[in-house]
Amino acid sequence: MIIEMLYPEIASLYGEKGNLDLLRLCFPEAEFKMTKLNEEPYFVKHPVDLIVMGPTTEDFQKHIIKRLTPYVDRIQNLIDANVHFWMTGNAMDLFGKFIEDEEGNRFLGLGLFDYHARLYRPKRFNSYVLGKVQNMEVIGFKSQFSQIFSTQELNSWLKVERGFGLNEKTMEEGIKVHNFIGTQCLGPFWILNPDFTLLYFKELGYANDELPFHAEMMDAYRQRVLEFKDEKFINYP
Amino acid sequence: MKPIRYTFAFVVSRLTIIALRILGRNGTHFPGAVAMRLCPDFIQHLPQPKKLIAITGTNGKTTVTNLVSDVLKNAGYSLSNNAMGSNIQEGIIVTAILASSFFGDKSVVDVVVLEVDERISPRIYPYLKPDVLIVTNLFRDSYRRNAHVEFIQMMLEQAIPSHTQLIVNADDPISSFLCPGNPRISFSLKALEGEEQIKDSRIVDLVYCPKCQSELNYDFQRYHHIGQVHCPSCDFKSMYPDIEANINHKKLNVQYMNQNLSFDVLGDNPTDHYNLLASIALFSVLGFDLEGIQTELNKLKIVKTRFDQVEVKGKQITIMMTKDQNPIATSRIFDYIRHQNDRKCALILINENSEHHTLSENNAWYYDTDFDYLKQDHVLQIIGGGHRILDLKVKIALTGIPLDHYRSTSNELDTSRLVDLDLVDAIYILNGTKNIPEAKQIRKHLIERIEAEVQA
Ligand SMILES: [Zn+2]
Repeated sequence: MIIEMLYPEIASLYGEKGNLDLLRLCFPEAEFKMTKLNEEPYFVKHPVDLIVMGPTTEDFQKHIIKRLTPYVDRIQNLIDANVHFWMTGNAMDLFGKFIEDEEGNRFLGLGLFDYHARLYRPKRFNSYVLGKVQNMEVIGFKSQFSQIFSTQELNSWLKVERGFGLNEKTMEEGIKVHNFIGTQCLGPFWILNPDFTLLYFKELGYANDELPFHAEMMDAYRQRVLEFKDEKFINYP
Repeated sequence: MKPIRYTFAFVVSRLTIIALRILGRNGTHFPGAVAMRLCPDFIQHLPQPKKLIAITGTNGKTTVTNLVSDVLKNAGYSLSNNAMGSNIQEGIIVTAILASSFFGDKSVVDVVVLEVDERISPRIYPYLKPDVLIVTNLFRDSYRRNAHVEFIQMMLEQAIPSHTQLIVNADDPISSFLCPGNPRISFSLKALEGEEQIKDSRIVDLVYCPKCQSELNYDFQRYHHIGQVHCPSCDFKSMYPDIEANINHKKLNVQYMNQNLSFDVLGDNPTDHYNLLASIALFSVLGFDLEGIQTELNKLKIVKTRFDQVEVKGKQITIMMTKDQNPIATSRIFDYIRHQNDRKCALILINENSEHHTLSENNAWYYDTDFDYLKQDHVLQIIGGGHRILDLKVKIALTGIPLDHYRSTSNELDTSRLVDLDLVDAIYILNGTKNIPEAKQIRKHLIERIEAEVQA
């Protein structure tokens, strides 16, 4: 199995390296390709099984778009071929049509999906997320400057029950197209949601019935679910 | 003439401060909230202090604020500061009120020293314009509030007035280049002979050249992005410092404008030296005779809430402020602990416990913190206390630390009971910003236990 991490040195804000720790622990035999900003992504010339990217700064969003734009067709082909993509936080913004800043300037995105992102700095959107992926209860945190909007109906990934979705007016969160999953949820999400992650990793070929430290992660998960359901917990100001 | 609304708010707020003091309460926040309630643009009308010194940056603000205030007071200046209060609007307002005449129309002290949270700069500096601003450093901080360094940089760039004299750390290639048009004095701590570079940090906030995005070369990496860098593709490189220092036998030797001066160090860590250097730079900017300052600074000791050590029957107990939600401050402390040779116990109380009844805090920052530094033979026990011990356990496990080294209790004060006094000789109590009294209480319990259980 080949896993490519795109730009972990800049696109892993808000603790997303934790997801990588878990991935390495669960797939000790896998080959990890850590692609840096000025390198050609490994996926351009080689087959990969999973591509992961986390949140970055608003400035680096533009640099990343510039680096990935020459490979839009290749990315589209990989999505169509059911390669797994796991994109968290504002990594999702890059795959839309454009990102609009506070002054109304638009920066073209990769244009792979029919949505766009808008920045609202210095306003920061923080929220708990409690919701369902298929029938599984999942939790996450959001901390971001952008909101995602679309004129089309998107194939959302997560139905939010507490918190908000792609923008504050919707409870539809994330996007799932073939095996491309984009979500604004942070956490690191995989560690926060061990039962979900077990199923997800099984799709990638994980063979055990439990993750390492599954019980410990489940204890922490149950505590969070209770807190996220508790009305007296203010919504992560 | 000040607006009546302002004058009214000023007087009410001042009376609130007085009333709270009579009641024996520390009114460093509430009266500020009252002022803003009565007059939302209150800050805009405050009189400009005769001399305003502001201190900002991710780490070291409070220490530097205390240091410079103490020296200025000893030098006979009348002074108002927020060293004991909050560093957001409310605390700043209270400090400014105490520095002003009864009706708030003019400043009556010689100097105001303000510790200012980076995030609120745009709400302060356009109105209370600092004559001198010390920027200690910039790192990532609370994800929920501060996002990332680039954002904080942007906030500061927009807010700092163009005439403000900056004091910056030349070893921080992020903050030293803030506001390129402003006058600045910079300081640097030379690489010491044999100084170990710390290249195994989980996070480095500056990887690429801000001018051309080439990967930067670190000529010397003290920790995280602190050190000396240059770009292999363009002319970007660390700033040449105005004040250069090195350490020799617990002395900080400073070279500045053909002067050679020697100061007692505040502690063993580079962060302590940087805080001292920032203060020295300030006094040179203020035109003080540095030899006199040398005598004054040598009298001071580091503020005890940051580092506080006692020894009882051969067992050492150290309280260390680690700042919750701040992976850099916590990693620096873990690094300090890993370099100590005793059989150790780390007692971790960093979880914003005071907010737990209404907030489910995101512990993502654990995953940017160098817990790996605790994965070593000398660390025999890790004890978690407070509301987020289950998250902490997961992090400890994923770090590869054996779980039989970990014990925990949701009651912070009970953690003292879990320390195995036969096993460890040094106990590090790592508290956050909001549980300093609890840390002291735990130390008291530990001392009692050592007195009762350990043979002399
Ligand atoms: Zn360059």
